[in-house]
Amino acid sequence: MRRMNWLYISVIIAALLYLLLLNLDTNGTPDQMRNRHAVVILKEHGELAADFWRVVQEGMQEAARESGLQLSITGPPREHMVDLQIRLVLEQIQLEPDIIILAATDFDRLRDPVAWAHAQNIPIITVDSAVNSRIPASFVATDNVEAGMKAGELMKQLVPEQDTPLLILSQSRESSSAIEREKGVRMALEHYTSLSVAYADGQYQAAFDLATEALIRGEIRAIISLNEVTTLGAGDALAHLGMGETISMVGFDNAPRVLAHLQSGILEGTVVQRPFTMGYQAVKLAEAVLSGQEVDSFVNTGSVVITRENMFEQEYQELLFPFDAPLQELSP
Amino acid sequence: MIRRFFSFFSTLESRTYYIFTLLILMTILSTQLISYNYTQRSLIDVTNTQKGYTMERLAYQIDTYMTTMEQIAHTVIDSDEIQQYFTRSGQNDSVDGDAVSQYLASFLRAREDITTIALFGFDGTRITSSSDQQVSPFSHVEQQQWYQNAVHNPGRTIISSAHVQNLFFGIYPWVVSMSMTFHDQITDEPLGVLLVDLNFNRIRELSQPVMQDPPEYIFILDSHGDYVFHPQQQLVYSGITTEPTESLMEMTDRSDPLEVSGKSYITRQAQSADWRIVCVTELYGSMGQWRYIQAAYATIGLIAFIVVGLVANLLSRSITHPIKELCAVMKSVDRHNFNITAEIDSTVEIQQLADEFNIMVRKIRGLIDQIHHEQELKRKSELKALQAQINPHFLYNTLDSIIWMSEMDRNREVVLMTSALARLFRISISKGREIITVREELLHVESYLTIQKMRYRDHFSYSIEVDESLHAYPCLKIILQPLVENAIYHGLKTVEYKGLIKISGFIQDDRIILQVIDNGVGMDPLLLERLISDSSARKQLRSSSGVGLHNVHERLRLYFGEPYGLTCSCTPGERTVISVIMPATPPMEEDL
Repeated sequence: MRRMNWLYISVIIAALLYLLLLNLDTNGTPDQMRNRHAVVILKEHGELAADFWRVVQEGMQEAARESGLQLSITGPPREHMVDLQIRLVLEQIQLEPDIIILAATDFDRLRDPVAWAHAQNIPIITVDSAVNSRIPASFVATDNVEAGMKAGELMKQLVPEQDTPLLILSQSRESSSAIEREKGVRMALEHYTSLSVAYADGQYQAAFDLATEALIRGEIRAIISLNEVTTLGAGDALAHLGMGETISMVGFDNAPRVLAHLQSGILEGTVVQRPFTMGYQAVKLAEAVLSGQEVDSFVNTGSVVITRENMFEQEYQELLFPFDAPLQELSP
Repeated sequence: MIRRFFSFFSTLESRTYYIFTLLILMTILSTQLISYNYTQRSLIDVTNTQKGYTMERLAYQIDTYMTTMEQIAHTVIDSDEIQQYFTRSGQNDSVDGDAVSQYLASFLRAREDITTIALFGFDGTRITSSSDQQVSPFSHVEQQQWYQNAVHNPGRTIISSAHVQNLFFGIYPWVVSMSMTFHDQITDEPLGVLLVDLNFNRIRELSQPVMQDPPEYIFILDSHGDYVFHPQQQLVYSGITTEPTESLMEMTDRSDPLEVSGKSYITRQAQSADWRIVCVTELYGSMGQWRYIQAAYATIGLIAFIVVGLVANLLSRSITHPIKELCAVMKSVDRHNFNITAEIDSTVEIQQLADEFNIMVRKIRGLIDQIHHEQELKRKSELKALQAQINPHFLYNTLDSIIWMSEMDRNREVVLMTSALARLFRISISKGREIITVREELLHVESYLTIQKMRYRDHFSYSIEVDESLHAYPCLKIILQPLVENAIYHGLKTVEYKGLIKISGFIQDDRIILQVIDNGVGMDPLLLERLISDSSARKQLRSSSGVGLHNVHERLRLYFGEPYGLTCSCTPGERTVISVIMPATPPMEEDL
């Protein structure tokens, strides 16, 4: 009896010793992430994706590289393919990932897939564009209302007259980012009397046509476009019509041609998000969720107003000009 | 609880075990910790050394790269095409701008990592490697840092940080700019600034981390501590990632790794560009590796401890087990068992102890045997003494009677009594044996009765009714005679009527019971009881010869043991029965 006791004590001490030695340095968490698998479903993915999404992806990969989290990134080729994205989300849920990071193409329609993931106990983090649901653990994005306000404030400086006819060229009626940016713009320009809105459905040609039409009719004196595609469309329309000098324009995002328009004075300013930070933070938050930490329901990655004056400052260079962006020439 | 806990330590076995275990635990633990730390340190050192080599190679590559570029730059500014184009462009147009552009473009074709070569004359003349593109009016060349640095440091090679080049409209490549003033070869008069743009991706490729585990990354600082390149440049600018740039700037190639917030930094200097290359390793990021080593150490510790635990257990038991055995043997001695020796197979010390114990037990046993023997002798002599007690008194009475009868000429009776007396004595002596047969005993008592009957002139009669089957059984000698004597003197001597003594015998439950029954006055049963068992009563009655009963009782008990002896039952005035109870041992010829 007593001898059994001793063996028991021996084994307990040995086990304690084992644990002690095993836990000498455990103040790092990367190992926990090594076997975790996160699925990222972006708004745009592949060759046709906007630079913005490519940089988001880089940020994500950088964060995953640090921790060893397994990352697989997918998404529809273009932003308006909502059905495809819904199908992708459902497909990915089948693969039972540990967590899903989603940039929703549609505020309402992605709600059911998100609920389905939740039912399968897969946590969700939304990035850039939210879903109309309380399920996602966190939402990592530019504060779009704030970004919209920044664009509006800049426009206010450019055209102080409150009766200036102004066109807000939005990419979408449904996407939350578009809705919020528009809201921000309207907040900044609340005393402006003649604001009009046009929706380009995320298509370059539609944006170009809408801008051209409005410009030819001479109805507007200023344009605020709310994303990369609409900024390119409207900027190209201005360049095409040679009205860059007379019409004030503030855009969004930093496609090389947008920057060329900025440098050449067609565009007076552009509000730039921090896609790298966004991607990086999204993955970091995913890791926090996976390791059971409390996370904020919204993480603002911020935005920056870029004008011709500050566009080549060291601080903004990498934000504006992705390292391996293809050398792209200005379209005629 | 506490008492129980301490009772754990109260045995030699537990103490040995715990002390061994504790000592070994500490030894294993400290050894493990030391060697684990040593392994960790040396692994880190090896990793750092390896990293140092990698970074030196990187610094060397960057140096070589820059040197090559510088040579190209010098080739360009010293070439006849450029010298002629800038010195004579004012006066004559013999040198074609396109041809010079072509010449510059030929360097670009040879070296893919050169993005642009451009020369900006102080007189406003500009020529670039791309003849089909004009320098953008928005680029403000004179305000650019590379231009100003070159102007302020004439003749020196200026290498910029990585930046976006906006020389041509709509093309914004990431470059590292190399710039320098160029001079008239003859007059040494400064002519303008040369720009060579190097594709930054080339340097980025060089700076890709070599190892994935532990995770590491490389960034580059310029001589002012500003970033030339950082893989997380945006995170750095938005303050999410911070690097201890000030401490890093103070480090040299020989410095020990700088360890800040879980990261280890080592730096190498790229001389040509005056850049500082920094390699960052997550100190605790290399968990995979450490885990493995830790697990290995822990497993070794576990096995070692279990083995040692078992050995300690065995060892402590091997010490205490023989002692316990010895204890058990000693305990049996406690219970009066002296016929044992401690057979213990153990160490010399315990063996000696056991041997000494054995000697002691043997001595005690000898002493005890001696005491037994002496007691036996004493008992025997006592027996003999008791036996002898009966004789003299009776003998001279009988001899008196014989004399008296001879005087009366009753020869027949004299013969009868004398022969009875002779038989009595023969049986009494019976060659000194203690044990005779029941037959002999009966003969003996009959002889006695014969004599007494004659002496008392038939004052009583007697009968002996013992079954023939009993006759062969062994019997302690002279046990019936004292009973009969007692019956005569205390029962029959004083009665008026003719007394009767009856001797009967039977076997009951492996016991032989011989009874002497008389119909005399009898005795007070209590007194009789006391006569048998109490020696003080015997002393009281000594004068009245109550000696016999106690004698017989004592002898029976001495010889056969406790449950045997005499019992009596008495009905005063009617009869007295005194029973001899003896074991019915099968008949045998035994000599004592």
